[in-house]
Amino acid sequence: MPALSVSQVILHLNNLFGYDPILSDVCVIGEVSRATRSASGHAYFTLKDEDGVLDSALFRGGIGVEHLELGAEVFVFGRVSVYGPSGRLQLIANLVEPAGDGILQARFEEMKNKLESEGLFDLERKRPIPSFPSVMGIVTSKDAAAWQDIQQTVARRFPRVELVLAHTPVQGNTAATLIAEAINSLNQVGGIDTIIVARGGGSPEDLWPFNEEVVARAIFASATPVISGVGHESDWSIADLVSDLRASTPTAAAELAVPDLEELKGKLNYYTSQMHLYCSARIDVGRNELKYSVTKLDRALPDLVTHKIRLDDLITRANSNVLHKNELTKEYLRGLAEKMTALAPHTTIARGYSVLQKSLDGKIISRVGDIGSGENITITVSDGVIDAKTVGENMGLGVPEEHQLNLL
Amino acid sequence: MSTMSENELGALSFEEIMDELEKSVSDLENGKLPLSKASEVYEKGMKLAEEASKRLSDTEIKITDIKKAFEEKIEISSQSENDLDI
Repeated sequence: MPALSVSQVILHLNNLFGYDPILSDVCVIGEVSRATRSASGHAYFTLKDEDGVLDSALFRGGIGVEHLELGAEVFVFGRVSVYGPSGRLQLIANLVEPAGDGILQARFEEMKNKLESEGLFDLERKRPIPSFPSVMGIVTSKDAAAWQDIQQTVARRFPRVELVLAHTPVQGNTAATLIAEAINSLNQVGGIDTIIVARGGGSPEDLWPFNEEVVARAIFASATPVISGVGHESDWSIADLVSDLRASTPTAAAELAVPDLEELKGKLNYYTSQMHLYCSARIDVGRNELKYSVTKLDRALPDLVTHKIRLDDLITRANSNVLHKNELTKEYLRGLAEKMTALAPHTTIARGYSVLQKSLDGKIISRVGDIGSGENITITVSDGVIDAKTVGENMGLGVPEEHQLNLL
Repeated sequence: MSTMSENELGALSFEEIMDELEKSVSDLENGKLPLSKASEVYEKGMKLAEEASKRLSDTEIKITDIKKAFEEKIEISSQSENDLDI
């Protein structure tokens, strides 16, 4: 094998690169990490990504030298070759274009897919935001308009809340880490009901920290529910996707975080009047129920009046019956008494008749045969009794019928 | 659910008060409560509403930063440690 000179090797390489369909006409995307301009008008710069660097040159007359700013994401169109004097691989550019938006979009999509697959955006994970917070943690810059907007909104809507500001830069290289730290710190303070992570509108680069993984992880790990209010209406950040509630702006975030005091007072008044209303309606119902019950009770009572009238009638009738009977009896008795008086023995005796009785047994002697000779008798006359003795034989006499009757 | 004491009311969060109040209103709205119960619920509801508006009248926005919040927390926890020593 013949030995080759260094130049021959470099030449060979450049030939190979020149034939290579990719390397001979390439578009490289990367971040400008170093850029210098020579007096002759050439621009030398380094392109980098996470794992590598590529020396590059844009010679005088090339287009897009103004995009070669430190940190800028650019598309570089050109070819790859080896520069002999240094022996280094070089990207010879003829056109440089800013890549910013496209790159960021690609990174955003990549981050979104990654975190989504891990479940950081799951709807089931979203926690309810406390309706009436007492203490809220605010993650933003103390110099930002967002902080002013939040304070004003809270003061206007619900001024009985304490705001704890966790100040952090919200743009630049260190912002993402510091935002994440602020969220963690607020969680360590304790007693915070809601966290708002906020930043006003800006360029996609400005808002980029809110798309960083470290911020997403901090929001995900937060024990306190997080509301995000980053950028404007149309800006969706990774932070928005992870947070429990997304608001379009910092002001909107504050509005979602606290209730409206006036509205609440109105609600309380409404509740109070509703309670009055319902309660008096209930009392009316009770009153009607009572009325109904009384009526029902009334109807259920026996008809005392009718019974009483009937009873009175019965008593009257009974009374009059009894009285009538009494009168009749009295009348009858009176008649009897008169009769008896007429028939009484002493009345007869008083008229001159007398009554004979056997002394032995008091038997009335009304016939001859009732008494023998020599027997003791008593003779009752009008003013006393005469003791006597019979003599002689008894003889029957004809006694008139009427006298016999009178002796009975 | 009987009437509430001041202590019980004080222990409730604003959210709990509003929840209880809403429940009282809907219980009354329902209209099926016995009258004695309804007046009990009414009394309780009015107390809740009163407490809620009392709390809302406290209108002082307080702004602090996290460093101060931490310091306060440390202060409070060291105080409570002292309390324990006593």
